[in-house]
Amino acid sequence: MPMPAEQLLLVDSDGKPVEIDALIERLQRERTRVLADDEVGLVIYMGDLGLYSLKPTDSGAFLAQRVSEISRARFSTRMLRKQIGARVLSVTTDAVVVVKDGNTLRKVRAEKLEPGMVLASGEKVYR
Amino acid sequence: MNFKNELERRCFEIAERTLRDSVTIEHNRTIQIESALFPEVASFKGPPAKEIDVLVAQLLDTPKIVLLISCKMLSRPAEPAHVQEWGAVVQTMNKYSDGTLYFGLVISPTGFTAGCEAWATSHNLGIIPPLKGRKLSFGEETVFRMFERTLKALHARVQLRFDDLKEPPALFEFVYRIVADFEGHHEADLDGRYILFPHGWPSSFGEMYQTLGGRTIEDLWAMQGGTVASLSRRHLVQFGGNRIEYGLDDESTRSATLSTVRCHKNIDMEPCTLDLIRSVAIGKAITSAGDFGSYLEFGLDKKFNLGLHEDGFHLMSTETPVEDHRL
Repeated sequence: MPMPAEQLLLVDSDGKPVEIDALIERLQRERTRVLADDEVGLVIYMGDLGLYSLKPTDSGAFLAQRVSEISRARFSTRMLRKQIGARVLSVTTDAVVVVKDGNTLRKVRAEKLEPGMVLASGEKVYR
Repeated sequence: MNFKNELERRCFEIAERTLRDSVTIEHNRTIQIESALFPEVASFKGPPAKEIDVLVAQLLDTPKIVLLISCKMLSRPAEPAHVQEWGAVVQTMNKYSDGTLYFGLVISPTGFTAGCEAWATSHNLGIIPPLKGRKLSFGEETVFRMFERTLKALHARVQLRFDDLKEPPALFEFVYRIVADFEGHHEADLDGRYILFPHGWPSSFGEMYQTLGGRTIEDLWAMQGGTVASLSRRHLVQFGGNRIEYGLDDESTRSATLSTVRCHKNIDMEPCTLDLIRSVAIGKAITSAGDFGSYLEFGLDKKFNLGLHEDGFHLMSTETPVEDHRL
């Protein structure tokens, strides 16, 4: 999970965008899919739907990753704006990001991302 | 049932409540691998065995999936050796399993030191509470809620699919996703201004508007310490000064209504009757909301503002010119 995952773009296997709110509303009615629905939030299983989250890369292409669960927290933590590569992202302070640290990888919270750090995906943090 | 400490007892009760009778706890249990037909485990003493304290929860019957839970009641955060040991237990049980799939979970209410995560991810263990790159302190009750949520979610998840959780760090990531959102919840919980009925869950202004926006006003009344607006589709909102309660109206929380209510109208807050406010507001839909601390205000049909105070209501038109739209 090398990228902050707050700006979620979902597509189906044909690459068509999926409207997340409508999808959650529909899946919520299938109770066997609901892994958690409580005071903390909602977690829904969607591993069998063939949906992918898209992560934009520096080159302008998108990296697709299969999504197994989608969660909607009833409370999120403070938001930050971070420029990573060519993009400016809104991420929560507690989003976990994997960065390169010499020859190893290390996880940091988004609030601890500093200009000059390089993500596992090769993208640089600018501000 | 004997328990070594309070943590074990609470974890067992939660697991039993969540998974019913498929839960056992064992102390100094000698665990043995299921299949000893491998040359590398042959010795003069027989197959390897190890004594552990373990909470065993069966998640699925066919194929058999078992969660091995280690409850660490320590005065300091758990150290990598604790996680490493549990990783070795689960890994060995899986390697010499006769069809059973073992997952591992470590609970330490005092938290984990930073080095634990690498061991937990490489051994595919869930850890509660989560490690998030800075020291987070969760109360013991929150840790028990995390455990309960994880058990429920994992139990539901393996009924749907489990093979993708076998490869590291899939289980670690799954447990992390289930418990990570407690951080924001924990912070909101400290505020306690917004409460969602009927569960009494802490809530937020955003969630309140998401729930109430678009509903029409069906009735207004005042009771001791607050005012209430009854809304369409069996919802209500109750303003009590420092507390705003809203959600599904199960009518169990209603107390006696007050006959005298302080009501005001228009921008200059002239006194008026509750009947006048009712006659305008009832049947109109909520189109906006604002929490002003000492009162809660709803926009109605984009034409009126209805205020709920601790001791009454106000209503004004938002159309201009003001003089032409006085109530």
